[in-house]
Amino acid sequence: MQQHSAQFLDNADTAISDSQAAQKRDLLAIFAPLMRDAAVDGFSAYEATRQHVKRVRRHSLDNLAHYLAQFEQQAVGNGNRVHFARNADEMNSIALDICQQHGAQHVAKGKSMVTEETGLNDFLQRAGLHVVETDLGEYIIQQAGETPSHIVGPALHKSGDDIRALFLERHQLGERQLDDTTALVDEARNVLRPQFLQADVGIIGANALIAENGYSMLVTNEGNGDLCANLPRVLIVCTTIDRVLPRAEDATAMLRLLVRSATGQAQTCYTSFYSGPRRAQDTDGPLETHFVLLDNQRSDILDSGFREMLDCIRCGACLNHCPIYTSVGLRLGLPGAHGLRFDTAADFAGAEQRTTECLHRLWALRRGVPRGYSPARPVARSARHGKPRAPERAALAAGYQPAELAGGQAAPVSRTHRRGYLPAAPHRTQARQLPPPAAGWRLDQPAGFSRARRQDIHAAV
Amino acid sequence: MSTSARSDIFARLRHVANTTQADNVERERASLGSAPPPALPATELCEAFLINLLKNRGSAACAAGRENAVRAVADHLYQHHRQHRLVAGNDPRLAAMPWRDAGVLPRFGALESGEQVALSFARLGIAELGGVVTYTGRHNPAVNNFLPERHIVLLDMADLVANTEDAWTRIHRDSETQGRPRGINIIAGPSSTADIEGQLVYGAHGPRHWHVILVGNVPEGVLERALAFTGSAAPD
Repeated sequence: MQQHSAQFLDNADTAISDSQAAQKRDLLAIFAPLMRDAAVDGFSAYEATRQHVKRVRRHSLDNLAHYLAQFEQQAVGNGNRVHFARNADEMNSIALDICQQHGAQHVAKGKSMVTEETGLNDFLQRAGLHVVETDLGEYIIQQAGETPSHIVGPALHKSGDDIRALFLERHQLGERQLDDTTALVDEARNVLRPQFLQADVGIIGANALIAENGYSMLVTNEGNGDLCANLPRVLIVCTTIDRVLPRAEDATAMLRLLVRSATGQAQTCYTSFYSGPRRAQDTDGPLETHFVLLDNQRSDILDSGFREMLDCIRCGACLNHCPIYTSVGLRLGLPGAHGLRFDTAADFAGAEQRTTECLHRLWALRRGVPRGYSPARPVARSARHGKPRAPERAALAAGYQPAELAGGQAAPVSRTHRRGYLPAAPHRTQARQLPPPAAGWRLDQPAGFSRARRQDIHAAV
Repeated sequence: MSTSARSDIFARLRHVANTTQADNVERERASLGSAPPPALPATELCEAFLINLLKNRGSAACAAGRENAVRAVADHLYQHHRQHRLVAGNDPRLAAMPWRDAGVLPRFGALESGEQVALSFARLGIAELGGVVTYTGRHNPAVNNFLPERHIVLLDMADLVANTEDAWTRIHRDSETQGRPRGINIIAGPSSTADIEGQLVYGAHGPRHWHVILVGNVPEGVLERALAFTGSAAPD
């Protein structure tokens, strides 16, 4: 997902010209929040749970060295090998080394946003390994040669017709037409079953690591991650150092928020905890298991004013509220937590305007994110301290003025406005206060694209 | 490489995070307590469990004892597969059941290619989740959970708990006496996906159908009330 500011506009243009995908994301932005709201409303303890999990998570991050060491000790005691990776290259190399030590040829992968972050698939494939994604959405985009468009539903930007055409091209279908969604799912099931059975190595992510007993938690609906974790003879769990929670009950408390926020379900079909290789009496399970724990600047974030970014439980709910996301998908990075590279974005005119729109939208939908965590704050800070330009200068140039009063209410966001790439016309002439946490700034005249460029964008959409 | 990465990362974390003594960290965590217990949809634990299970698109039956449980398995099998074969792990509780009385033909072991139905005896049921807990091992090979077309699970009423906090208390107790299981699986529904156009489809990779038989002294009318509550059809 790394990109340079020079590529930023090109990526944005490419993304925005795919109007079908944008329509799909627009629909998602309408329905996903409704489903989530219904799930949250049906759970009376939601707010109290959110506050509790937030306290526990803060406590874990404040004492991360302690809990990470405890996790490592327990995991090693359970029979795992635990590896640490400072950056993406190290994680990829560790995973490749393990595969090569076992003479592996086939790798079955469960969904893992961490391995998307490190580009593990490409790395393993360049070394000659056959890597297959087994989550249906991930499998579809792997076949299409794309990257995930949503961290929960990676292929939701594609229509059933797109997927049918893809399978017609990629699979040996004979006379079969795959004329409904069930047939498409069955097709993937039939293609992927042998992949699980022949894989030498399974690679999965983890939604949490449990310090007290060394288990990792894996949450899925399909059960594909569990097949990756149980069938191949070697299992590699790739995750990040900040996923550690003190107790098992902390992981399942977080689960109550994660599931409702991610999919609007009360509970996912499979929640699994894996502790290591098969035991003496076991009839199945991997013979060797590894944890690869990635830092990749998370310790820097912990050391910065952006620590609360690490509060993120990676449910993806913020995506469904983000105007930038609905316009351009994930091509410009992930909003909210790590991944939102506003320092990159700030390198060109228009970035501040987008930040402003994002703030308005996020603030108007504070319920859009779990556990009292608001992506708006880091986004605002990021804009304020954005590199490479001096933040205040950039903000002033972008039309922000220090306001005398904090507070203020974000305006309701129109559908057009949600398409974050469109200039926020109503804001151009009237002075508006930004809601907290960006209070103190006032938006008079957001800078943005030139008139000509705006027209280009209008034409493209 | 790995060793220096480890020491680098820990050095950074010790620099940025608290360096509180371990005892104090544990004390601080203890002071945060547990999450508030989630409300259940019914006062009767088994009714709440069944309601949540049905919402998860599982199906359910109740059986007063072992003989009835065997009969319930046989009926379910015959109704959906017109045969009496299934695969079950080497769970002594399953081995001891009077299968022949109902004509069920279990094979004990791990599911193999071509076999469609697996039977497990759950370690726990969790009312909050409408799900069951199994441990991997020879008593219940993991593939029996994740590869069959149909997964049938027996759950003893005595093993039903209200929430995940209570479940962990039981699991930790088991781990102390029997060692930590390699895998702890919470199963709460048939394998599903909504990855294509957001449409929910069952049988993404694993079971298309998930059926739980609650064994024990289930109060009269509980299943019927749960079915009415969720608007589900009567068990088939």
